[in-house]
Amino acid sequence: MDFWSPIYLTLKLATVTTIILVALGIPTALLLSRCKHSIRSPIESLITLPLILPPSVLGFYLLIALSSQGPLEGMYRLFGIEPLAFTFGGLVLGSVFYSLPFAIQPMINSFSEVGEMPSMVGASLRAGPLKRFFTIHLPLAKRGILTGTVMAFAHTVGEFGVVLLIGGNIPGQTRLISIAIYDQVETLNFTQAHQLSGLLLAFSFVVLLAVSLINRPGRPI
Amino acid sequence: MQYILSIIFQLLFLAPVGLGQQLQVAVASNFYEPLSKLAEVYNTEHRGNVKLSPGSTGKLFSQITMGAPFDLFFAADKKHPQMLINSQHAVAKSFWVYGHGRLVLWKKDSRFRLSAASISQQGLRFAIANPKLAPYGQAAQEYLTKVHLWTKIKPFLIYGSNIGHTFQYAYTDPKTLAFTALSQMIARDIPSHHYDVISEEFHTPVEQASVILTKSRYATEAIRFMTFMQGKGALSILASYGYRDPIGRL
Repeated sequence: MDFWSPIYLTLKLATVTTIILVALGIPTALLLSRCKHSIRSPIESLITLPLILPPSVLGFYLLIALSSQGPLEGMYRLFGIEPLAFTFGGLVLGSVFYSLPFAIQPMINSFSEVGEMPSMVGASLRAGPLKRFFTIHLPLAKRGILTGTVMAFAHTVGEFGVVLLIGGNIPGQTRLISIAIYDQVETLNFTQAHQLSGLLLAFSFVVLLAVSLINRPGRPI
Repeated sequence: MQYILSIIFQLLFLAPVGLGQQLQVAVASNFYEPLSKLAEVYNTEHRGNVKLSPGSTGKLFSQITMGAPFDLFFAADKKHPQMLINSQHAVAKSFWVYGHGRLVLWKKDSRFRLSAASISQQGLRFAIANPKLAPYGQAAQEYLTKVHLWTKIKPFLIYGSNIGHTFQYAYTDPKTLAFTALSQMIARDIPSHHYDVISEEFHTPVEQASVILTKSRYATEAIRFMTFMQGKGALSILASYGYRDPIGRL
C-alpha cells in the first residue's frame, strides 16, 4: 500500500477544512461575541454539538444526507449534482462540521475578552467598521484566532469516525491516515501501522506544544 | 511566506500524477490477501492500476448502494452481488463465481477438540465474524448450530465485523480461537495442524462471486482485469490459496 498517499490526502483535507473554518469562523465568532440577544445560547450550543455527539451519529446523519439513496436524492438529481458521500468533497463537509467548535470557541473567547471598548475608541477616532475589523479586532484577538486555526487543523487530522462512515476507505480518495492505520491493523500490517501512528503521535504533541506556547500569558506573539 | 503559500497551493490543486485508469476494488476481507497478490501481478505484468478497499461483504454492499465509487466488487458470497444486479448497481453479465471459500477453526493447539466440555474449560474465547455482515460468520453460526454447540458457545464468543477482525483477535491473544477462512491460514503460513477445516456438510458452501459495477468509469479496464482473473496464471494463484482445485475448477 502506498505510504504517502494517506499523508498527502490528510494534509490536503486539513488545509482545505481549516481555510473554510477560519473564513467562516472569524465573522461568526465576532458576531456571536457581540450578540446580546437570547438567540446566542442556542446558536452556540449548535456550534458546540459536534464536541459532544459521537462521531458515528454525525457521520450517520451526514451519510444519509449525502448519499445517492438518501432523502435529498431528488434534489441532487434536480440540480445535476453528484452526491458527496464517498468523495473528497464529502470529507471536507464532514470535517467542517466536526471541527467547527474547535475553531470557533477559542475565537469567541478571544473576541469577548477584548470587549467592545477598543472598537468604540476606534470609532470615536472615525475608523470605519472595516478598518476597525482589520486593525483592531483581528490583531487583538489573534491569540484566539491562531489557537482556533491550529486546533481546527489538528482536530481534522485526528478525525476517524465521521470519515470512516462517509468516506468508505478508498485509497487515494478518502483513505486518510487514521483510516489507513485502522486498515493496516486489520490486515496485520503492524510495521506500517507503527510508522503512521508514531507520526500522528509526534504531530499531536507538537500541536499541543504550539497551542500552549501561543497562549502563554504575558508573551507577545 | 511565499514558499509556504506555494506549497499549500500545490497541495490543494495538483493531484498526484500518473493515476491513469485506476480501478477501485471493494473486496471481502477473506479475499484481501489473495487479491492483493493478484493485483500486484496484474499491476506489474499487465501495467494496470488496481487499488483495493477491504471490508466485510455487508458493509461494502451498503457503501456501494449508497453510491461509493467502486469499479469491482469481490464478495464473500453470491447473495450480495446478486442483490446489486437486481438493484442495477452491478452488471448482470459480469457475475462470476471466482472461488469457493472454506471455513476453518484456528485452534492453535493441535490437541484441541471442539466439544461442549472443551468450550467452557480453559478460559478460552472464540472469535467469529458478525453473522449478519459476513458470510463466514454465517457459515460458522450454521456449523455451530448443526453440531448443537451454538447456545453453549455463545457466552464465549467475541464478534469481529469481518473475517480480518476475527483473525486479528486470535492473532493478538493466545487464549482466543477463531472461526476464519482457509485462505488466511494459507496466506499467513499457519501450520495445518493448528486449524481444522470445517466439513461443508455442516454449512451452506461459501461460494464467492464478483461483479463489475454499473458506476464504473473504466468498464473496459474492469473487463480487462476480469479477463486476467479468469486466466490460467490467476486461477492457479486462486488454487494455491484454497479457493479452487488445482485445475482451476471450483
